[in-house]
Amino acid sequence: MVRVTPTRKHLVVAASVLVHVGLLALLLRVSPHAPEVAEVGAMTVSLAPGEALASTSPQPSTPAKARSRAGAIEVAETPPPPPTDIEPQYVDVAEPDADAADDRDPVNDPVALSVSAAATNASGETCQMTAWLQQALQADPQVQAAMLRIPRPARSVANALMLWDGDWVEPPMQTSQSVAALRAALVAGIRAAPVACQFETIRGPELISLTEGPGATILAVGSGEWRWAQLLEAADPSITRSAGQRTEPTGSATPTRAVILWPR
Amino acid sequence: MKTRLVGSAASALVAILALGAGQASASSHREAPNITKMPKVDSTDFYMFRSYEPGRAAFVTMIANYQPLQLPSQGPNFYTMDPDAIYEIHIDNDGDAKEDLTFQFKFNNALRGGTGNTLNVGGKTLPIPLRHVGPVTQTDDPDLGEVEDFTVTLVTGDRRSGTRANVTNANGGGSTFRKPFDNAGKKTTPDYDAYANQFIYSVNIPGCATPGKVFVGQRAEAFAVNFQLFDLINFVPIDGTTFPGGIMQSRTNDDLVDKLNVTSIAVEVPIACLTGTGNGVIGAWQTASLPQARLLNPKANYATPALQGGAFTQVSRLSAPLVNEVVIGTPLKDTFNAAKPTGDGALADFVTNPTFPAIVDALFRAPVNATLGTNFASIAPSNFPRNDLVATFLTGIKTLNQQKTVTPSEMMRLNTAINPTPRDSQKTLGVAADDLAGYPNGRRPGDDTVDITLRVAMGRLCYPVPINGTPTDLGLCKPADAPIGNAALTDGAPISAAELQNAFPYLKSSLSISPRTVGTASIPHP
Repeated sequence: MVRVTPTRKHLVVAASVLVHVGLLALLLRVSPHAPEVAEVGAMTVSLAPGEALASTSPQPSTPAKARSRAGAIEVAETPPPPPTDIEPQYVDVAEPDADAADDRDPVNDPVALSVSAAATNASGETCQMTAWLQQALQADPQVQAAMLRIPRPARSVANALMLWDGDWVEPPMQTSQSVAALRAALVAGIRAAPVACQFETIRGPELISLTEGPGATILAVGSGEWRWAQLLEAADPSITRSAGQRTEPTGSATPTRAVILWPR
Repeated sequence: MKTRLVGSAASALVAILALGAGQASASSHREAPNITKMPKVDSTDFYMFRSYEPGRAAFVTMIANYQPLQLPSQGPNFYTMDPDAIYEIHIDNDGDAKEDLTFQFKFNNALRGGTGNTLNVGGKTLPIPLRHVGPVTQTDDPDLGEVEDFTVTLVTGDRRSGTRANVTNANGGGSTFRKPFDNAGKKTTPDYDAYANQFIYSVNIPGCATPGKVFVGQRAEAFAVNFQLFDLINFVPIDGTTFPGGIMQSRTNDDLVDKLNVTSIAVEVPIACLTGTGNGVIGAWQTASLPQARLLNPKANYATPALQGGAFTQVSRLSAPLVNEVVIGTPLKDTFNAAKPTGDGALADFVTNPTFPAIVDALFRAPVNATLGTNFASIAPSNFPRNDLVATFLTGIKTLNQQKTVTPSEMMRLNTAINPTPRDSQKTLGVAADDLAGYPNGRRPGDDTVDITLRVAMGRLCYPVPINGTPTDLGLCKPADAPIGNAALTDGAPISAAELQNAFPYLKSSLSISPRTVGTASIPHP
């Protein structure tokens, strides 16, 4: 049996306590608030091509440290500068010409004819018939006057008027004269358009937006599959029926070209 | 040391992922797996319409909502915006699916005096644990210890490399605006309407001769939806007045309106400042973006809970409602959130060959056949590709809301030439109900987009829609393609413009639950 003298025993105990206290102090000093999570291996995160905010100043929004190694993120000491630090630059945004719709002859006006010619050049594939008719009708004082006479209850809540869906449609009010004027103008506009465009196959309605005072009236034309030329066949304004009494569109019928006045 | 730092970063990233995973759950607004981890930047609803407030018809209002499912009076932190994020509304006015204009909102949250409100307790001055210490009624109320300010930048051209210019206050100048404190209750803010209205700013928009308006703040939800939709449509989704056993319209079917709040970013802009060189049809969508990298600070404090770095990366995107919820497949929902409209070609199959109608068919074909005595082999539309949906969501409907150049892409499209319908005349089913000023020609707060989407998905546009009372074939598909396309499909959760404000910012002031009142049990307690 080995006897340990009291002095030696005390030294061993003291040394052991000192070592443990020292280790504990070292751990606490190095990481006083370290989260109790397992340390994981190094991980590199690459930046994919992203979107930096535009800047008119020389400094990009990406922190300098983030650019120090290509493709790798390092901890930035400060967040990137906010985008609003950039000096404002004022730009002019052109507004549409409010007077564009002037009094033009829809058939002989040079601007209107140029629109027509552009449509012709497109060989029917890019016919801008609705734009053309919008321009023609907008410039027609009789159309403007007729629209003013059509009361609000005769229009939809969004101010739309259905004119033709295979037959002429009479709005649900006594507005025959006014609607007849719209039809006449529409027919005249179609007649003035290139023939190829008159026979272009349309699917679904075309909406013609006409400025009327502070707002706009939407003239709706067509339903299902149809052609503008069909309106020329049905040009007699006496052929009307009430709104809501639908007849199937006659788009499959071959239009009779003899009734069409070709544009010069 | 470097290894230790990178290791800590990795731990932080793992922690972020773990946090997010724990918060994921299913609901309407939290529509993609990844965005459920980031509610502050979660887009919930986008509205765009000709202003129907009397006298404001020459303007377009856009409202981008974020932060879904806000419980009323949910303190002490309430629902601040993320100061690290940028919130944006993009406008394409020529149809190339690229933004021509972007309204960019950036927030800066600050504690008054660096600490917020303080109290001296026993000789020690300490910050209080609440955002406010007394009634909050003024725009710069000293009782509010944490304030949210924001700037609005108009970017012309590409959102990141375009020309930037500040939107400024038309009354008194300056380019910093303030967001009102959320609605804590009547003891804090006795007249929340009056308080919040002080934060509607008249603003000078670069390039615009006429001032517009800006408001950012908490609002009451206006998206009416029945969450039983996500329980395999646990009701008969046909209006009960037209179909035996169908669901009846009732606010009690609604899980958001009159129950929860949301945060709105609203801007009203003169039409002429939006249309550019296009044909008057504008496309728009909202996004939120965050710096690409976020490292959690293990010694987090108010100013630096995390370190941010890298380019801004889009994490949320929204235009038409329910597209990401019920059209895009789960593996690609976050792809959709990160994508620009120019990249939507990769997602087109979900529109041309949608799965949602097939789900409805699987769930309801037998009951429909049994009730109607029919023998439909399928009640889902059979016209593939679904050109009716392509027109609704990707190209716009010809001459109604199709742009000068047609680039298939998911955007909200608004024909600015069509008059706004006055509030009292609006049809909640929009274009399908003879109201060309409604969804999908833009979207108004009172449009019942859940019902519209259900119907359009099942083939409503294959049947004539009324224009000025005249049934009109849109030429997109035929009734034979859609056996129940003319059914009055609905989730039974109604909404109408009459329930909302008739003035900017249109959505009603946010709800509170304080003081509790007998008879208001529809508002949940936090």
